[in-house]
Amino acid sequence: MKKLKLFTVLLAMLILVTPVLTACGSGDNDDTLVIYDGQFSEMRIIHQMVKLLVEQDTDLTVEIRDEMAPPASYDQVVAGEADLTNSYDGTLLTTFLHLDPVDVPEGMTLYDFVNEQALEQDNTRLLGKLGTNNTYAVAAPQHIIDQYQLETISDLAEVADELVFAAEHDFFTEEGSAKYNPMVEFYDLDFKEGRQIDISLKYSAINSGEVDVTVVYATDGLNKEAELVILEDDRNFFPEYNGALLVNDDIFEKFEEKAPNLEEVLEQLTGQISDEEMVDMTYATDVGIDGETSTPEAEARKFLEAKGLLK
Amino acid sequence: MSRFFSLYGEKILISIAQHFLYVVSAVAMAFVIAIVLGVLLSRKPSWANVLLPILSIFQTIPGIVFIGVLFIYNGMATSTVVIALTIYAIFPILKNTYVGLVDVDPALIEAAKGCGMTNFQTIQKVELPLAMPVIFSGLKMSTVYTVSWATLAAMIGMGSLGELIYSGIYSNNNTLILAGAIPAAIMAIFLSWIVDKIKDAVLPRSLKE
Amino acid sequence: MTIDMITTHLLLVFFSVLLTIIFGVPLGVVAYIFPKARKIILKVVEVLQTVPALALLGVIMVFLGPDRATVIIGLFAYSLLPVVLNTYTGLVEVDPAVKEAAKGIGMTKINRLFLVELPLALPLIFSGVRLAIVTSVGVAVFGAFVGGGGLGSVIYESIRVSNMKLLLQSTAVLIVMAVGFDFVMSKIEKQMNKKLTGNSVD
Repeated sequence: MKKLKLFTVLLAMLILVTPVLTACGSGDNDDTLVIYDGQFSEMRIIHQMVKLLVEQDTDLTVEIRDEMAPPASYDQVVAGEADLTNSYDGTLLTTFLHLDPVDVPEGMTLYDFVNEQALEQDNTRLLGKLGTNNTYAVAAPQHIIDQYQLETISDLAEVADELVFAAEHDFFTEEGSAKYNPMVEFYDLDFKEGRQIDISLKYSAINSGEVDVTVVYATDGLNKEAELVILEDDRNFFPEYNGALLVNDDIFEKFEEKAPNLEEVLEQLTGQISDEEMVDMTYATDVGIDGETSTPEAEARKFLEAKGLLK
Repeated sequence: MSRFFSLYGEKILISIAQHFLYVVSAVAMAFVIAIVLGVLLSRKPSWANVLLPILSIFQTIPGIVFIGVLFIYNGMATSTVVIALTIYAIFPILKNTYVGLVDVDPALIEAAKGCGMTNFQTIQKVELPLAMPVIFSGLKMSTVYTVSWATLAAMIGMGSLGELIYSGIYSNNNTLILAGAIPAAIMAIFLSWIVDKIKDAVLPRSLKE
Repeated sequence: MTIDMITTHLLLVFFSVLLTIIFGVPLGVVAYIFPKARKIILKVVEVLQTVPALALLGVIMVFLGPDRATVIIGLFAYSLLPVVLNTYTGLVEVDPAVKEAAKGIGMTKINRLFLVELPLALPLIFSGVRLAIVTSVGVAVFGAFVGGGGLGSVIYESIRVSNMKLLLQSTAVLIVMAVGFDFVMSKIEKQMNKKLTGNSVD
């Protein structure tokens, strides 16, 4: 008898919670725009901006779901499970489409080329450039800069054998050109050590002096916190990483009824955000001002209000 | 495939070697510490009743947190990896050593004492050999777990097969994930086979079934 | 850290362990009844356990995409071993005298399994489930890497921005969760054992 009861309870629980689970998988509503959140503040802030604007100017609701790694998020957009994500033309080219800056034909910009390829291969495309260029940049803490008199990446060549370089894992993969091995070859850098470290621990390692030189995203607020100085990419090794909203091309048709103006609403963000503004916003959420950290939502709201986009 | 191996072949070999060294040194240290502690605790079961639950709580701290925090204090060093792995590896061996020793039939211990054995001799010649099968199953568990945990070394710039797995996840490269996962699984199976062999070699014949 | 993340974490653990029970117990029974299948079943679940958690999730992600389902299936595969092994061991260790007695009074194989052997093996099976739950609470942290959400994302983020307070809080919640499950279930387990030995005395 007791077993039967236990079984019934289990069955009841299963039935009760199954809808909760399956609800996670349904993104086909034509009144909900779905975004999978990013792992970094920059993406989260942009996603909040999209939510605020779209919910203000259209009849859609925007659902921001749990974060996932960018390639994963991109796959969801391609599959139509998610509608858009914040991304970068350089990321789309190298990480998502597995192409390389050298594949870009002469006379065509990376942005135009990648858009053409993405639409053809995956039915995705980038909207207008937001204005940020979150490219990779080689950076070092102030005391290293002073000690070795560094200004450009080329300046590193002379002293590299005394310095430890470390960066996150994806900078070390062998495919693609904006990576560690091509970089040290291009600039002829013979670092004492070149180590892979988790991005979450990179800044601690720099603060504790374990790492002398690293690669960072230009718009990361943590650069300011760690007092990192960006070295000029004097021979233009790194491609641009222009921030832009990446959409599944079907969404405008899909939401035509509820949001005929969706594209215009999203394009309002085009050209609005400078690198400095983005650094300030990510700094406010990650590090905080006077110990008070802000949220991506608050930063997005403040920014849009200042620009007069949010009433 | 051959392109993949020409790109990553050397790296895979280095990663396997690093991974192997981390696991073997951490498990070896953990084994020694756990045996000593286990013997001490088996003399003081009241201490064990306090200490073992505390250690088991410690065991639930995610490795990612532990190695991250240790990294902040101890830096990007081999010792950070080995200390973290050793601490995680101690518990299963310690628990089994303690249980194995406590379960030894008191009559046998009395008998040993009756033959004129000292305390140390009783432990060495009677109790530990009798507890050996249980201790080894703890050692096996620790070994398998440590192979899995050693992937965390990649978080703090110390290599290991985890480096391939992390790179694969972050760069959307499935082959790379497998290039880290498969050798790790084989290593775990291989090492637990070795532990079994060692057990067979050191176990007194009378205890083998 | 929000309640939502804690709930997600708990749901991930709950569903994976549910799957583990649904598949693990029958697998243990099959291993017990069919000696030929035993070696294969036990070997396979053992091998699953040897794959590093992060890699296992990564490999499943290759097939299922990044999703909660990936995390749930990863946790499921990871916690199969204790449940299968304990079910099998529990059944094997049922007192041969009891098995004989059941045979003696004319019970069929099926009846013996369900009415005698499984109930007697229940405490050990339960202890396997307990182990599975406690392990899953910890392993679910890796879920953050493959889109699972849960407490892993807070932990990871707090390490990234070196927010020690948040890191401590989220780790504490995790520990309380693991220890809480362990404590409650070990109490139930003791109760079960007491009942069984009590019954056999009458």
